[in-house]
Amino acid sequence: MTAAHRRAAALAALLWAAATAGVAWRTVRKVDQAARSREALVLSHAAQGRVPTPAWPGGLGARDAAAVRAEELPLVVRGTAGTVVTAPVKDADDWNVIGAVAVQARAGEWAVAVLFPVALALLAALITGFMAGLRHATRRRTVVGLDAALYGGAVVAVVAQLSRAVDGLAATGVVPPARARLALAPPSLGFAALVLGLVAAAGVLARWAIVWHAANADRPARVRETLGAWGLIAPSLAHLLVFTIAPVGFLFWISVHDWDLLASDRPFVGLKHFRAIGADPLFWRALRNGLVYALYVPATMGAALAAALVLDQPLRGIKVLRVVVFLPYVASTVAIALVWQWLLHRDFGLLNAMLAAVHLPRVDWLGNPATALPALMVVSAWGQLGYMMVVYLAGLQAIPVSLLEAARLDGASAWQRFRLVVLPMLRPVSVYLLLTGIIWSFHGFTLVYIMTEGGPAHATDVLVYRIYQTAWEFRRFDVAAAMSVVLCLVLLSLTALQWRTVKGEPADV
Amino acid sequence: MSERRARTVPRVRRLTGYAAALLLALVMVAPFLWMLLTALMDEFEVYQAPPPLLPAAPRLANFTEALTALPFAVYFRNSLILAACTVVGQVATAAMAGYAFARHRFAGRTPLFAVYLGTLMIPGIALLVPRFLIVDAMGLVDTIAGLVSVDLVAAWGIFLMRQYFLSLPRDMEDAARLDGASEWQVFTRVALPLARPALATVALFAFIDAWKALLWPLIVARSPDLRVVEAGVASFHGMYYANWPWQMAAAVAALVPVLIVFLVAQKAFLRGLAFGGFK
Repeated sequence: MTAAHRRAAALAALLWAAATAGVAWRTVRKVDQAARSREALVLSHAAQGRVPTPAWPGGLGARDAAAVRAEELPLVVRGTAGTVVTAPVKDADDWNVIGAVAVQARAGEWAVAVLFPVALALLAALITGFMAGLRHATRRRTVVGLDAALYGGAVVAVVAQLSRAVDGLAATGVVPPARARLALAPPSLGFAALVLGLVAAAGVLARWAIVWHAANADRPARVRETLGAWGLIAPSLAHLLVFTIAPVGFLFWISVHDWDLLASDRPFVGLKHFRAIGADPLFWRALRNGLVYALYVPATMGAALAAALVLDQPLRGIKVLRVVVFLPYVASTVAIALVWQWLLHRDFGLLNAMLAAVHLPRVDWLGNPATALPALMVVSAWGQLGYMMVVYLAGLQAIPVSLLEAARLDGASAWQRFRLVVLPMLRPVSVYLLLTGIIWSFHGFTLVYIMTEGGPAHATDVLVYRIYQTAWEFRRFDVAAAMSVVLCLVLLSLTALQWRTVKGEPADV
Repeated sequence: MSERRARTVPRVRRLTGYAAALLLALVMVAPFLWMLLTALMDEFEVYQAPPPLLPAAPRLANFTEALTALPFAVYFRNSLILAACTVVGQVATAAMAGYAFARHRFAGRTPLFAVYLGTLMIPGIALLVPRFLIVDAMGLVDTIAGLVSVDLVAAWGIFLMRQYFLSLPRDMEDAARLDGASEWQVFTRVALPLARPALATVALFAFIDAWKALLWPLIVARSPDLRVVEAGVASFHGMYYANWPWQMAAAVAALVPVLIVFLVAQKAFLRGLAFGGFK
């Protein structure tokens, strides 16, 4: 343990304590504001004549707004967005926003200042522990565990103190003086706990790094290699943390909270949104459509295998074919959707013209609920037939000729050779194509968006399209998040299945 | 007798093979051909039953008219920016992280690798809502930065690069080290040039994916001057719903860049499929 390490540790501990104090300060200030919020500004232009039903706690009902103006009803506006918090006033149907109220906190003395001595004492203990632990740099695991326990205890103690203060506010009814009967609600402590947890993790990691460096001071090559490797990995790791790992946790968080773009408050609502989608026939319709739609995968696989069997010989020009069959795979999906919509056009489409030529009735492929989903399945099959065929061709050519020869000498017919030798040998390829294909089928959005917009009568409504509409047309991000959780679980289980089947087989590159 | 059979059976099989190949090729190409033919027809020429198979007088003006009816030049610029950023981001991060995982023994490697494998499992399509809200919180909705942000890194590419580096011999890198090259020089001057085929594969798939992306651009880049080609053609479809030659002309235009890239780089494409084309 060198002096440099000790300096670095002191700096890290200081930053750690500062970050913790910052978060605690912010939260305490919000509790304080809630206790002292007085100034209310009513911006409502609530329409008259509606049935007054307070929509609570998602927003304020029309009667609430009227009552606020009449200073009759004490209201608590929830929110965490700064010193001025707004809440939408909704109509009787809880749908249209017809006004808003704003509440402002007034500056004043600390109401919950009692927290600070406790928090500071804990932090002082933490820093002391941090420095003391450095002496036992050899036992890194113990040291990190000690840190985590110490800091975790501190966080729990601070949050417990805060929540006691919040409960105190609730017990006194948060009743402001009569000037305006509006008050801010105390902040949600879950968020503060989350940030404190992140700060704790950062502190533990910093400490771990310093101790690790001290322990490896006599191995400069290893230190250099580790630093270099982490440097190479840092950009992708940062991106994955922000855009992949954090969103997973965030997704689950949104799905159990109310998320209204207009309200600054996002209260915990448990499984409300899951119950909502469970009771929504359109959600089940979309899920069922998605499962039916996925059936194009095995169907296409069958066709692709047949094509591969016919083409499983050294034909001249097969390379050109290989390029051609991949065209749909690389081509712009919007362009494909457009041309198929044109091909399937009821009155002037090529397909119906062909049907008419052989005196068959015209079909309104995309306009009829019975044919719209099958039509999309045909387009998807067309798009993936070539890809699947090429994968099958590779699989067929990997089957040892000697195996087929042996079967032939044993008197197996062509059908028996196919059923007893070729099919079992192709099993890994088939399983791979089936599972990746089904996973991929749940990603399909463009065809639905362009060709049918989920219609007619929701016949082609799939989960991704439902999520898109729910979030970006109806602005219900919370409900869309609940749907996404379902989609995520479906796809995760399929992926897990796929990984289990490929385990043990050599990775091919 | 048996000799003749032995010769004729393969010939029959070869003929059916060619027939099947031809049929398959026709099925695959016909929609594209129909797209091109319709794009050359007159607006009202297509409204006939049965439809004409060839344009009476090929009308190239459809392309200029369709592509100027909406500002497609802007859309192509946006798509190129999106594709270029995605390619550069994915290739750079995949090469760096893949190389680190393949070549370096460092503290924290095993848990980190597990985290990367885990991200490979997470379906991005289910993360639309939180990703959008995060980009929104960063103030990047309706900006180029928000448009390109989420696909700058692909775990798939990182694993492809790692596998490829593992398959390369280390001799050249060790020789360079003996000659006094720094680790960074070993990476950029020795390892990267050797990994060019894998880099091309990552770049190609990044380009195709970026060019075909519709859903994310649709939700994050709503203002018209940030539209990408796919979203542009989609809104064109809504505006000129009845003018099929124009729509087909726009569709053909959207196809051309990605088709050119694909034809130039098919080899890299097939290599990527061998690794698992579906991501």
